[in-house]
Amino acid sequence: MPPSAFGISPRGRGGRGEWRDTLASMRLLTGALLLLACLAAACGSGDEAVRDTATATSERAERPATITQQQQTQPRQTTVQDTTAQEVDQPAEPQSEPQADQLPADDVGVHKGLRSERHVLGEPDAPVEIRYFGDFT
Amino acid sequence: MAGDETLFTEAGLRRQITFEGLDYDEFVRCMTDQRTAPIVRASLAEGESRGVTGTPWVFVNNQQVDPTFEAIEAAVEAALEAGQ
Repeated sequence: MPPSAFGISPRGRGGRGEWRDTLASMRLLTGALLLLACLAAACGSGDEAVRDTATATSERAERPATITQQQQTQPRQTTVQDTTAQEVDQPAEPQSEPQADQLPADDVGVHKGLRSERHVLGEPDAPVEIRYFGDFT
Repeated sequence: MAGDETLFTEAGLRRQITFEGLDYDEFVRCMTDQRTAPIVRASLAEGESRGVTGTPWVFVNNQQVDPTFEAIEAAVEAALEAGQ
């Protein structure tokens, strides 16, 4: 076949074909690189999201444990910080009612071997004694 | 009281104590340790020696009065006048 039969020499046609192949390969390579970059970016942000979630979860998990430890180590010493933490994370415990032996008494002593309390209202020297017997005294 | 015969069973006490918001285990400890039993027995003996047959029972200067505000007030006023 003569070289001028198609106006393109076999070598020249072959050179253009190689160029086109090279260009197509570069496009494919560029596309693949862009795709990889997008995937890498997506995976990177996903890792951060997972890490944030894990951090938040562990913080929430550690906080009640810390409060519990404080209560165990200091069961009767309630600080302002402890109270604040309990108000946030736990329902407040009902305040204990005053015990009977904590009631105000003007004179507390022993009468006939028994504990005696004399509550004086008004005139201390008033010659009146009221003795009360009830179910719960 | 008469309507609930299960109140003084263990289950009834637990139900009532829990309903009142008390710690049942602490209640049982207080009830069984007998620490205040001498005080209760002495109060019972004193009441019996004074002729107390029920509660509430009130004495004003060793005189029994009705356990009402009006009766106690009158007894106190009388005691104050007698003391003057």
